[in-house]
Amino acid sequence: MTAVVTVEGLSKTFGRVAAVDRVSFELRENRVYGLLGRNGAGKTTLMQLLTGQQFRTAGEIRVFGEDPVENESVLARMCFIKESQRYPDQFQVRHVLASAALLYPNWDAHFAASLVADFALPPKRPVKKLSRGMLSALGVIVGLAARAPVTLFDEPYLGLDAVARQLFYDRLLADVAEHPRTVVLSTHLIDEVADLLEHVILIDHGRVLLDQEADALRGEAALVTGPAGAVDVLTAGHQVLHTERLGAVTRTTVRGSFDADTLADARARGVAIDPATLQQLVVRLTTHSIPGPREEATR
Amino acid sequence: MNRALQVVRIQTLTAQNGLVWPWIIMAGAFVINVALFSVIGDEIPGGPKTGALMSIFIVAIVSSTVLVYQVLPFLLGFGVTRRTFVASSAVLWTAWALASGVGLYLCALVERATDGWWIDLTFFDLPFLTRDNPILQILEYAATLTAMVFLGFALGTVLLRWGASGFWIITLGATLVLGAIAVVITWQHWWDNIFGFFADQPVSVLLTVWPTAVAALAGGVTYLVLRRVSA
Repeated sequence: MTAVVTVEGLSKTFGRVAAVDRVSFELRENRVYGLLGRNGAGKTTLMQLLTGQQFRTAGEIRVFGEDPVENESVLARMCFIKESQRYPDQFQVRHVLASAALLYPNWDAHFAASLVADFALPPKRPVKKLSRGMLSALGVIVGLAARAPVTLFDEPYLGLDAVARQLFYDRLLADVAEHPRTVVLSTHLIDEVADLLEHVILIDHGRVLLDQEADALRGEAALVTGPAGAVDVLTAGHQVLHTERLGAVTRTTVRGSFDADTLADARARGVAIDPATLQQLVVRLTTHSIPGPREEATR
Repeated sequence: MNRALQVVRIQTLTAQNGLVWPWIIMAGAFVINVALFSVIGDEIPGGPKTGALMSIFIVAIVSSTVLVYQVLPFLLGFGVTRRTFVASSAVLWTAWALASGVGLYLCALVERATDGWWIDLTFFDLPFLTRDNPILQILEYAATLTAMVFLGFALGTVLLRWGASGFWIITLGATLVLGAIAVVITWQHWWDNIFGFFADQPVSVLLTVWPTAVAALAGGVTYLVLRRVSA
């Protein structure tokens, strides 16, 4: 599968803070990526850099083999739905959709209309007057109906209720199956989207912490639960990410997996070993890092 | 369709876009002037002359400033390049200025035909314009409007890039620089030469070539400032 986006040693600093710090990765054609990380990890800045809306301090970005900054032919093939998108004051929902129809070459008006009905969006409502959830729905509709070869969703679900979020995931999954494209989902609701993701990139303090296939990540960490002594014995030699104790019971999150013998041993000792969910893995990997000054990163 | 033209189309999607406001405000000023001078016009020798046509020029600046400030961040988010935005806005607003020039000239013709709206009022057909040459008179309106619009673009991009405080700091800086130049000119007794330089030029040049130069300069500043605006 060919890479549609290649990033090499990419940095973006604001004053002394490195929002994106020497990041390298690639996005391949027709895959669904999860861009995960805590608030302030640099996810939004990274996506702004990919779409030429921010300017890099150092490094290389190639989208379809070209630099995206001020590049019409590249930008027309990308769609970036962000929470902070601004709209002209007089614009109604239908004006936004008409604009998207003019700007995105693959725009599907029928699909857009069906999504507007699904999300019950009033076409003549001024964008200013939309509720938080409706505003998110508008972004979701644009992002889906644009069918851009590279589509980036930056926390598109803000204010959407569980039903509407499920609707978004369902429509996304169905449409990507029919019209394959590269999708990047930046989200905090990791468990909700875990099944959608084929590849995960975890960002922390502007750096890439993980860049792996989602399937491989499912065995990346394990929860070991049982009597404290037994758990300690079993997890010796593993990288311990987190330990919590509740009375006599200990639950330790460790990196890596266990072989069959160890699993049998664990059962004998009354210890349960379960694979950690993606969300548990992400939480444990990024908990140590308390957001704050990042002088060491800029030095 | 060319992408710049698509962006022009987007800028005209709403009926209430900035293009009509200069005309609406000017129409308001016109109605007030007609009403006012219907009441007191008889007392003015040679008939009333008003500078209220200025309203369309002032509102053109405001309108294009607001347009840049509101529409550019929206379009950048939708994958339009800064270059395309500048090109489309230049095309759209220059066309608007030309159409408005024709419109103002037609109003001037009506003013002539009706002896100043039946009250001897001079509103559109200002005496210093080249009134014996329709093309030149249209261009004099249009070029001046174009200069206003491009100044508005420059103001809007400064506001976008550096925010309100940056905007005022730049305004303060510009005031100080222009003030310093004025001091130097006064000190060196150059005012007569400068007024002479402009006074020696025909009105048609003063009102077409110079505004076009201002527009070009403001357009260049707009693009330079815009190149680093992020969405």
